Amino acid sequence: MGHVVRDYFAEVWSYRHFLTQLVRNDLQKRYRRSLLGVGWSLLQPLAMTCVLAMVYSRVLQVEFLHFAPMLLSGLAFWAWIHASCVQGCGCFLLAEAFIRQQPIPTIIFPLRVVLTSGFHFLIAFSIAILFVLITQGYFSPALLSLVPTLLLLFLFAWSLAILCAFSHVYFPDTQHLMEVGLQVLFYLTPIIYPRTLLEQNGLWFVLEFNPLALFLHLLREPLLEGTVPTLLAYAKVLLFVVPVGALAISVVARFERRLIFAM
Amino acid sequence: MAEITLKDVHLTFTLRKRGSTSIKDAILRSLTGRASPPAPTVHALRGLNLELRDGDRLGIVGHNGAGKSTLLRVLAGVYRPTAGTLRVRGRISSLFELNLGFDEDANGWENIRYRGYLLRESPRQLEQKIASIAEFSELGEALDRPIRYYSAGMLVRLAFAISTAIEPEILLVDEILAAGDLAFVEKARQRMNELMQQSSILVLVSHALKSIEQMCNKAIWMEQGQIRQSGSPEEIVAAYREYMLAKAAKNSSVAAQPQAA
Repeated sequence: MGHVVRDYFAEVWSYRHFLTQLVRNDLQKRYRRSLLGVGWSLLQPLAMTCVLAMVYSRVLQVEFLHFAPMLLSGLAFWAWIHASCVQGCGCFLLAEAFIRQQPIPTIIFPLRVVLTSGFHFLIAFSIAILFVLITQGYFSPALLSLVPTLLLLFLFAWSLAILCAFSHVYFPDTQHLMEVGLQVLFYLTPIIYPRTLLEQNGLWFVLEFNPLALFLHLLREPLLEGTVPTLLAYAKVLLFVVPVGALAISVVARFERRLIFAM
Repeated sequence: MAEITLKDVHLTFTLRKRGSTSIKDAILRSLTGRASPPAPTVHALRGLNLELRDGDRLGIVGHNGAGKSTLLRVLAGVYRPTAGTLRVRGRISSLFELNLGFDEDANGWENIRYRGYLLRESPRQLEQKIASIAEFSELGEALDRPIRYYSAGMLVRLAFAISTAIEPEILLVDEILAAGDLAFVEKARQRMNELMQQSSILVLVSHALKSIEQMCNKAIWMEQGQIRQSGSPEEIVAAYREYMLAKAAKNSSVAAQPQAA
């Protein structure tokens, strides 16, 4: 069992230059011949953040300076999860010409989606950090807790993308279902409103049983409060990351060899 | 040391129409109680035995649907055998359908990198070879254009140039050289001969029986997923040609009968 996994990841590693080329081209394709370059990926979350922060700071009487980085981090996080699921659905079909040419480990293609969208996330999230640094005037050492958080988030997004990718080949409705489901989930996650809004109205369970809300908490606490999340908060996230990851592994083990006949 | 060994290899797969399992269908079926029609199963390869060693150049003949291309894909590892054992040692480079292994929207240069990295070249190795790949392909400025605008002949030049530049130990070629013009086919033949000097294995599927006689030192004739006959290229090509001619003659006499009556 152990050496099977090791051999598999050695095989994945042997395609690292191919993966890098895919991701690099995906990024270039998006920015080539555009005036703003990488700025385009920031424009949408930044514009949303500005508008919402201005409106909310009036309506909800919250402080703009606190609210803006909260929104930006939330929107960046959401964009990453959304892309991992929705683009994950199409990633095998997009890469069919490669899959039919060479026996590549399939998990490379969901990884391509997660890395490309993760790149945009990192830029937007860094801006949120910069914003806090400028308005507060110091870096909190609690930001180091983002390292394990991002690692977990990366594994979670990768697992989701793998599940969506396989599912979409066998059930082409997956992408539509994901889009609808994510739309619902967007409003059930405290992305564009503060989590206190749910807590005050007795909707605490939405925060406890929604892995995205749990992740968002891990991302925001060091950023906005300057404190390290509790181990319990990490444990709650693990409760979702481990089963989803295990499911992704079992799907790969079971369906990878047969995938090509389903495409 | 390149090596290919097949022992009693079978390949069975179920044909699925893409999108045949939509949720709407599933619900409709459960409501109407009608079972979905069974998906057709294809027994594409039936008990193949094959042994190839360094310096072997195998030609495969057989009519369409005999399993020639499927066999090449099994050798490449793209299809995994359902039963039997397959042992392949050596670095494989394959030339299947023309657009495979390329990103249509990317230009020639980018696709050289895609294809090169797909063959697991390192960036350093590949950068040294890019100029000679471009030169061998003779595509010149066309390399700056997305390959979606390439003709079949241009694609085969590019694919062949990359696939042979990495010095494969096993080269699998599926009936694509015919897309190139005469000058290119001659050049490709020379390149393949050079590769064979470095002791590797070539497997060539072709309807151009002449190139099988020229290029290969072994041949098999496939029919319905099995090896009908194996032997020297001359022997197999002669037997296959005779069979095809007899079949063509029979067909034309059948076609001619109603008029005679």
